[in-house]
Amino acid sequence: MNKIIEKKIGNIKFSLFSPEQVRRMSYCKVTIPDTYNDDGYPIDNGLVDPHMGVIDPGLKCKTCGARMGTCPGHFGNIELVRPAMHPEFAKIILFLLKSTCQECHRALVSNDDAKELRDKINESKEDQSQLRYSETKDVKTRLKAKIKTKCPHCAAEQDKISLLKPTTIYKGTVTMLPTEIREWLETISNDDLRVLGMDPLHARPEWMIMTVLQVPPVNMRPSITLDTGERSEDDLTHKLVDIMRINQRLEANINAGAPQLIIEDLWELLQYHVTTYFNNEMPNIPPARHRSGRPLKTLSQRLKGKEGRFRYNLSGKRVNFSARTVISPDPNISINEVGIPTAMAKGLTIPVKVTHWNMEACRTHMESEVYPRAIYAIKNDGRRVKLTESSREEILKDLVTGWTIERQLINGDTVLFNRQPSLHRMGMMCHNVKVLEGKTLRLNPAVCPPYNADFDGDEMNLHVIQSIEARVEAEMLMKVQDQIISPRHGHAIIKPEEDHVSGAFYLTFGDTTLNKSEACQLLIAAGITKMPKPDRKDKYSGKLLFSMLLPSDINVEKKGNFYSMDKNEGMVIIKDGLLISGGIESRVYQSDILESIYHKHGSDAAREFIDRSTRLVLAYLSLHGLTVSLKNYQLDDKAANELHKMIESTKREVDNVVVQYKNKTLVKTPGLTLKDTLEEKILMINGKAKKVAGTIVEKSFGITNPALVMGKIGARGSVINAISMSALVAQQSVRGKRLARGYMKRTLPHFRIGDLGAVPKGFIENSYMSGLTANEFFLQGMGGREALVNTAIRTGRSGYMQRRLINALQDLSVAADRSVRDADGSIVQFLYGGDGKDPQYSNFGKGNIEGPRKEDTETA
Amino acid sequence: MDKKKDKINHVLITPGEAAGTVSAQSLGEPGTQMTMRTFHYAGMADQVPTGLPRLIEIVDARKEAKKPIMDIHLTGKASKNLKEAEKFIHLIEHKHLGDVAKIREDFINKQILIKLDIKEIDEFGIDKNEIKKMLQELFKGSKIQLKNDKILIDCTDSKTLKSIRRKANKIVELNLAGIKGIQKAVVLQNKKNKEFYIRTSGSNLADVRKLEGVDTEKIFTNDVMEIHKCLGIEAARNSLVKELYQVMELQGLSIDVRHVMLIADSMSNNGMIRSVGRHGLSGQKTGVFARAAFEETIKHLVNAAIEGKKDYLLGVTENIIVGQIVPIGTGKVKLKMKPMKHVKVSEGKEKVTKEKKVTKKKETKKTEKKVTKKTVDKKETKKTEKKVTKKTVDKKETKKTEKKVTKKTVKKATKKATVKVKKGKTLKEKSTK
Repeated sequence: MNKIIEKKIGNIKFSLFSPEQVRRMSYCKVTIPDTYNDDGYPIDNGLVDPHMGVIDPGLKCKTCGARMGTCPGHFGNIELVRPAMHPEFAKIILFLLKSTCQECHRALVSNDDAKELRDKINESKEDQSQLRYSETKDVKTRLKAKIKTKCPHCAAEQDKISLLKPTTIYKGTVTMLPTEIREWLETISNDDLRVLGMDPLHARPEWMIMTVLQVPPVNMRPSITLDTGERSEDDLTHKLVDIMRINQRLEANINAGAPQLIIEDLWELLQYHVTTYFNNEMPNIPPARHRSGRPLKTLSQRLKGKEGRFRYNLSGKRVNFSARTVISPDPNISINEVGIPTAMAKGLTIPVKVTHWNMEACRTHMESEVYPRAIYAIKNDGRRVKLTESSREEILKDLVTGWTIERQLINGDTVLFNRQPSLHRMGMMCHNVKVLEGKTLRLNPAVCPPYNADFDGDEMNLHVIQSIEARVEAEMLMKVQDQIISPRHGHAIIKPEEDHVSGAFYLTFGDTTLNKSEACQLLIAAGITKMPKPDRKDKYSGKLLFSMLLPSDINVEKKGNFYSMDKNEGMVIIKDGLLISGGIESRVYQSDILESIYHKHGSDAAREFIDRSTRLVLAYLSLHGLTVSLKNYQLDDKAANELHKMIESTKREVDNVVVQYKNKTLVKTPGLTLKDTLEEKILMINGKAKKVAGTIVEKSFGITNPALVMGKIGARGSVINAISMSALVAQQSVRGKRLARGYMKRTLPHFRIGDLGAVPKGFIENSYMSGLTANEFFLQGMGGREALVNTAIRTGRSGYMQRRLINALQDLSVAADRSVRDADGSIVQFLYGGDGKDPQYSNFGKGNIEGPRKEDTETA
Repeated sequence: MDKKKDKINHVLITPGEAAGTVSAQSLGEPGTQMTMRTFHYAGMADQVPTGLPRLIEIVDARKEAKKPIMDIHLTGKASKNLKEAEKFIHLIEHKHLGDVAKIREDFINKQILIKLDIKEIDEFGIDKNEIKKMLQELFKGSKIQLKNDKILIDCTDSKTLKSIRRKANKIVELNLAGIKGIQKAVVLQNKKNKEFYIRTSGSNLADVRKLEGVDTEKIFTNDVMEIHKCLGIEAARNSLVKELYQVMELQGLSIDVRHVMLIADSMSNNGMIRSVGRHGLSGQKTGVFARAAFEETIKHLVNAAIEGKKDYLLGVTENIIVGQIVPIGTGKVKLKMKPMKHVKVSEGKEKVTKEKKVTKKKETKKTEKKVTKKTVDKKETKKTEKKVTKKTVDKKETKKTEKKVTKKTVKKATKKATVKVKKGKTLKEKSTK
């Protein structure tokens, strides 16, 4: 086996190819503008000459002798009869022509200025290639200011030189031929070029006007065989054929002594083909097209943009050992785990090094013919053998330590789990495998928030880690339990949600009591095997059972959201890990309890708390039951009456201000026009109406209404949802204003022109329960549409913003002295965040705009 | 005391952390949750952008903010007295002639008619003769007549109709009073201390500061670029932090200030406000590949070629492109060792060779073992192994040495940080070893 030599790339230099270099690199002089002959074999000296590599299975490369797949490909060349300009360099050529003298071809910079510029370049680094981008730019702007209009060396006046995109250069009003330009560029001295910011040793300007064209290897432009047996060539090959055809015609015409005009026409055509060969999206020229009318994808297009080489193939790569399917919830597995379908576990492998400690385990895997089995073995000489029924015994005989076996995934293996879009680092976390029946990937619903996942058909990706280093790193840095607290704000992001909160609330609410058998059921669900002493005679209170999971150093005293409904149960008091009063609601559960467990007892304890408490709470919720029905959204007669009155008075109030506005008796708010004052007033009236509706709904529903309770404790839904379902939908708006579009001065033809009242401007007095009128439904659609359009636009905009942010900041990292530095070592912050603290661990549940506390920095 | 120190050490950021990426994600991730709606400032007729559009605006470092706002606090009597404060409005609010007069071109007779709104003019305390004088100054040599509330400008010398239109436009934009760039001003009252202040739409920090009676210390604008121009980079950086944080806060999204600070610092660390994007931070990176992979691929490759640039593969993208380990986090740590001394193949048993590393802080048993077990082609494995063990050490065995070191470095760093003046040019790193 070949020994692999590992080396680190120190740097990569960019430069231009000289014609000599191109010829030297060439393994094939391409002269025939064709590909395959009638027998289907590549034509010698054609565009797919086997000297440039092979793409047909079975053929051998004539240069290196390797076959398809192993031959790296070799370059060829085309001799151009007349030189052609490389279109991407047109701007630079223009710059060079403009800044050198037309007579003596020296830089239009006086000797003193040239010296100054040279010093500037040498000042920071002796090698110009080491200059930072900003420094180069600085030199460039200085240079531009120093270029004279009259030659300081021979005093010649300069004609105006201009560029007609893409490749035509005018001197005065005459076009310059590429040969002319090339001759000019050839005579610019190296010293002058250095002053002009070029590296003349590696990039002579005349090389930008090509006399010989490099032909890329065949495997860079493979042809594909269609089902019909026809060959379809790559776009680049097509373009090269075009270039060669014109090249030959040009040659024939020159040899035949054709008139200059015809030659120049052909020359221009050659230039066009060369231009589109490099970039088919040049301005001012029509793109070269395929027979079908599709523009060709040439060299520039291959590199550029999202689907280009850089972003698609170099910055991101496709991987093996990965899987993807639909996800579904499983509250019974740990947050650290991921449930994997058996079929998936069978298809994914993990390499295991055979040592004398795991020899036996490896042997059983290799011997096995069913599920947890080894599929490949890699012997000490690096050979890889497949374990099949027939080969198994033979291979097992030579098993020694040092082999690597590739076995199927089993419980406890480490994998990475990811959901796109991966907007933050918690979008990809490390889970332990748990092989389960079924065909979906399973995850604990408490890990949904970091992935932003739900189960309405979401799919997620799974990656099996293949090396020990990567696995250790993933386990230490990416484990789910270590990501419970988000670095964004220092609050829990992996947390009990929805049903967990409802369950916890109903378990701990009021004097929920459970008999012994129920209590046993709950505790065993939470994994607690020790029975507490009953605290309600022979029964157990829900508060006691919940407290079983709390460490003894948790103390909370907090008014929850529920306080407004019930003074007793809204006041959560936990004393030394014992819940004394109050129903657990989302904020207490998620931050006060969970976060302080994390900070006081570490991530293991926090994980255990989430796992156990959610199981406990869900077990109770299954006992207790939780439903919402239409009845729960029905207001009682008294409330309905009150609501009706309120709506009527709101409309009247609006009408009043409108009348005031029309009479111009409305008092102007300073800084606003009368019209704006009116709108502001109405906005306030509407806001008030909604608020009153809220109190009416709350009063009518009471604390026995599960829909309202869920909203209050932060499990699901909100009071606003309840209002629009049972009281009124209220004002619709577009662009933050009342509806004002549709017909002339009215939203619908059913209203009077210029009516500024509540209803014609989108005030919806019905609720979803009572049913919207046709008008209301239509107006509501206007508001709804805006919301949809906005989300569609927003995702795109914020995605691009995030890409820019990440690209700009990705090289910043914390150095050993806790300063933040950029890739080149330049300091961005002397001490990370001013105090060197990690936001993931330092918040303790407090927002802190004032910055870090002084005492902390001093003691550190 | 020791316990407290332990806690603080635990809370300190881990060297190597990809702080930039974390900050960028922290600001970008909630972007999808933000509303696009504009925000209604108290007393302002205009809607001031908040949420995502404002965030993008700040991060773009646009030369001209969409809707800048100023809060002008007053000194002395004016801050207590509404009437006095209102006087400032006329000083501040910018009036064009077009605002107080109707201007009409008469192309047939080649003249421009201006009809003044006397009431409005009086309110501003400008004399119509003064206006005439101003016009005279603007168009030297033209005949200008003033009749009652009408001004006639003779344009017979203008050859084209276009030039008459141009003249008329100039007249519309003639400054009568107030400060340039400030479209509207309103007096508001601070609810807490009952002081009156002026809020303007449009911002011109430089000129407002020159007004007498303005509290120059309390004056506020939300235009970062203007703050940079008038008060310098430090102030601009603080303004960036404030504005970015405020956007997130208004949306009800919590984010740690450190992230905002890091973004503001990297936008301002070379003495100028650089935008996040192809014209700023991303377009000025050192690595050719990093720039090419972001945007404008071809441009960067072409320029690198003619300048003979070298890419030293210092950044993240560059190393991903060539397939090497990225120099961030665990990829940043390298193993330094004197090769020959450790090549002792000892089977299984741990042999702790007492050798102090001069360069690195500490060496643990585990790494020592790994080093002694050395085989040539396992170099790579060990490197990472070492990184990992180092991490564990950081967490668990942070003993005396480690503490001392961190204490020292942090102290040093704090000292550095207190040096308030940031140099225009970024400092080149030279870690002292």
